[in-house]
Amino acid sequence: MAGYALRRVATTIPVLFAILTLVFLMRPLVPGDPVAIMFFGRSSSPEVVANMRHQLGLDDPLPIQYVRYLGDVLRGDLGTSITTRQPVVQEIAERFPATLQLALGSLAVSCLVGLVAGILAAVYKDTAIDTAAMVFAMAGLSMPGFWFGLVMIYFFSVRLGWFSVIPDGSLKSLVLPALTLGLIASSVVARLVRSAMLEVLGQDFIRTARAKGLRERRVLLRHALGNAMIPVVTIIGLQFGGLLSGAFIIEAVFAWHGIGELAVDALGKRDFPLIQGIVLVIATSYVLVNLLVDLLYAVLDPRITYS
Amino acid sequence: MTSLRLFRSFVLIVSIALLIGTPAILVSAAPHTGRLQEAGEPTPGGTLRMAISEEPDQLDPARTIELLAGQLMGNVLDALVYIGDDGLPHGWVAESWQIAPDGKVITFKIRPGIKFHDGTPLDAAAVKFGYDRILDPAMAAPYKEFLGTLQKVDAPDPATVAFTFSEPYAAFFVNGATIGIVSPAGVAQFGDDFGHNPIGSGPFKFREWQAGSKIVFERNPDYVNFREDDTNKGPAYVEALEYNVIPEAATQTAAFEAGELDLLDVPREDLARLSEDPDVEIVTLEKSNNLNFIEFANRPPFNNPSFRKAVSYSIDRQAIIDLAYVGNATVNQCPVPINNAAYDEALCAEHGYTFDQEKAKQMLAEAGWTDGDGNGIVEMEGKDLQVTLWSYAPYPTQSKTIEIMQADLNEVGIGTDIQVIEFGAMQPMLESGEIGFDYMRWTFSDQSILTQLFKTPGWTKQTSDPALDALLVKADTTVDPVARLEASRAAMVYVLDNAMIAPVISDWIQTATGQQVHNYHWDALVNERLNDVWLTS
Repeated sequence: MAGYALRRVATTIPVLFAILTLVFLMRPLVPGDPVAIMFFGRSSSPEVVANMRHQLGLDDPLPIQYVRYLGDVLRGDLGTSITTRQPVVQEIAERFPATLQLALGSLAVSCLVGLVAGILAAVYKDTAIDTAAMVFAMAGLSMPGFWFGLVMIYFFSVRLGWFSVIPDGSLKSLVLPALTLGLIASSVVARLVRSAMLEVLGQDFIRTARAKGLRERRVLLRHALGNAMIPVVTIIGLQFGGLLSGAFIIEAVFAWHGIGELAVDALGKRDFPLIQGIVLVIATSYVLVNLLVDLLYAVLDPRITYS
Repeated sequence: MTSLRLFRSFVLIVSIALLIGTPAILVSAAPHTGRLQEAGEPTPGGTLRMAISEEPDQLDPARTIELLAGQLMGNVLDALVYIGDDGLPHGWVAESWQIAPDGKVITFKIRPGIKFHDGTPLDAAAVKFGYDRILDPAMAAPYKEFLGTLQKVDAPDPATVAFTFSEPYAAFFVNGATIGIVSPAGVAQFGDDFGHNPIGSGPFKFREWQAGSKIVFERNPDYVNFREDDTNKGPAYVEALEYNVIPEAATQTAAFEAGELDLLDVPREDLARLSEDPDVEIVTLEKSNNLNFIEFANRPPFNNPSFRKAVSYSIDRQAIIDLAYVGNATVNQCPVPINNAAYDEALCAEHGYTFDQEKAKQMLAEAGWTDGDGNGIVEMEGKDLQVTLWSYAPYPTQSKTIEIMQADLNEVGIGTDIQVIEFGAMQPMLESGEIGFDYMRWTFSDQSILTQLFKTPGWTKQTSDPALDALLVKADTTVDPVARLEASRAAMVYVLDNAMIAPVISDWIQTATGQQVHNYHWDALVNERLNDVWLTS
């Protein structure tokens, strides 16, 4: 197991390196001079542009910039935002807790609703309950997130006045965005749980368990669900990675000040060190979450051993 | 109140966002329709809650050029002068000034006894300090070019500050003397972080900036207001100003309707609904500093004046206002915004181009384009006139507008495709001339908008016209306001006669206010004057 884990960790290193290189290349590969683009329509003084280029080290040859970039990133320095002139690391660190909070909240909703709906649909296959759960899942998959978010705001905040539109940092203001994201994500989980459960429920050991006289609840939750969890955990892991990268649209709709909103803002302002920093952090956290999920398999399923 | 996803500042800008409210400039006459003279006694107290679509970059005049930052800084920082409804500078921190006969030195007298929020005195040395920071090449201050030909600033005594120019710089009062004055002690204390802890002498003090979430200012209880265009001469009525960052326009509207905001930049699609709400008043500034126009590249057929005139004649501006702007804009034939001092409706009607399809076809025919094969598209030497009109995303009003223009242009025989791209991606394409013509929007207040747009090489590097340059230099170096206006109008006429751009409309600035809000208005440069606002519960 330890050997596998080490090997698995080792394989992420070239991936991370590739991410670094691609993120670095983002800037030279985009057409036009980034500083000129940034100041376009705001101030055209060539002196200011030249000064800014110099401050950002853009007048050096590309290989030198690359080596410097790698060195900076390894030391934990992602550069300085052009617009705010704050360290990119600090900008991201200020926003990350909000994204993490929303990701965890949404994940909780997604798991809870997805599991319950999926299990019910599988157990009551081909009944009204199954149909209802799957229609719900289909609706969740098809609904545009920003529209659903605005409907939630309109209904629960403007009409009913249960929640404030502007988040105040309390747990209560997490409810609507987490519900919006979580319900949408839960539709994938529900469909997956249903099909995985159906497959497991048809197997011999379930019949054996029932024949032994185990209570149905125990059969379902321990024997069936336990075995159906492997693909579900994979998807949940991927979802969590996605949620951690900030739900760009949902964060903007709910004025949730996380990574996604920061990214939208940085893109609008064409603040490329900040954009590069965000892409790097998002890609890296995705890789790490995937790594974690892979390692979790062994813990979850005693049949899987790595040697 | 300002909105939308891109930038803002005091002065110059390509204002990417469609619902704006802000920046600077010379206005011809009383511009606002706000609740200025309102019945009832102002009551102190309360927090004025507003939304902004994004965080400003920095609240430091030496670090920013965003309209939004300029708007927020206006609460904290006072300036040497303000521009009145007469379009002329009036004393603010400066009580008077003198212009040297050669126009190269302007000497201001500073009012005695003004203090910054940190208790240090606002004297000539402090004024000099602020301008020196912007002039300093090491600061790479994006605002520097708006100081024009300013060479140096001297403070011979605490009440006197002298600005020396290499050439007379007429736009200095609007572009330079309205820059907020910062506390030197504050800059020394916070260094690079001053932009997140601004200290000035204005009606509001900076209180806090919650990263990504909100910015709060509180009342300066010791404030003395020297501006004659404000009704309130003392400290502000409201206790605090709260700017909440809400990126999504629909969410801003929801927060306003849920009573969580006092003011709202009204999204155009919500305007009709909100105007019918008895609890809401829409404050409208029709004489805005916005200019929407079509600009052209320096290559055939766009560099042919007849083609440009044909384009200008073919555009049904009123239809664009009715359909794309839902009525909330004014036809503008001048190459300057409607609130600009140089704006002259009669003059521009004489030299401009109203909607006239026959004249458009005539212009094309004169230049050699006729529809010989009867396919509806004019051609020259057997080749159809086929062009692409560009605009930038993601602004539905812009997109609708160029769709209408497409139909208009096809109507007179100019085969037109349309294309919308991201603004940043336009820069290399505009400067290379790859974009032949496009629908653009600027928010700018001073007459020098003409220089910004057209002086060689032009803002898109597509203009080179020595005759126009000479006219612009004359306007820019004529310090006497009346003579300057004449010079600007001469340049304006030249621009129109040669159809260098096709001016289209000026869209209005509109803010929804709740019934609890009183006396909300803008000054002549379209700056909000929030120390005049009071709230009732």
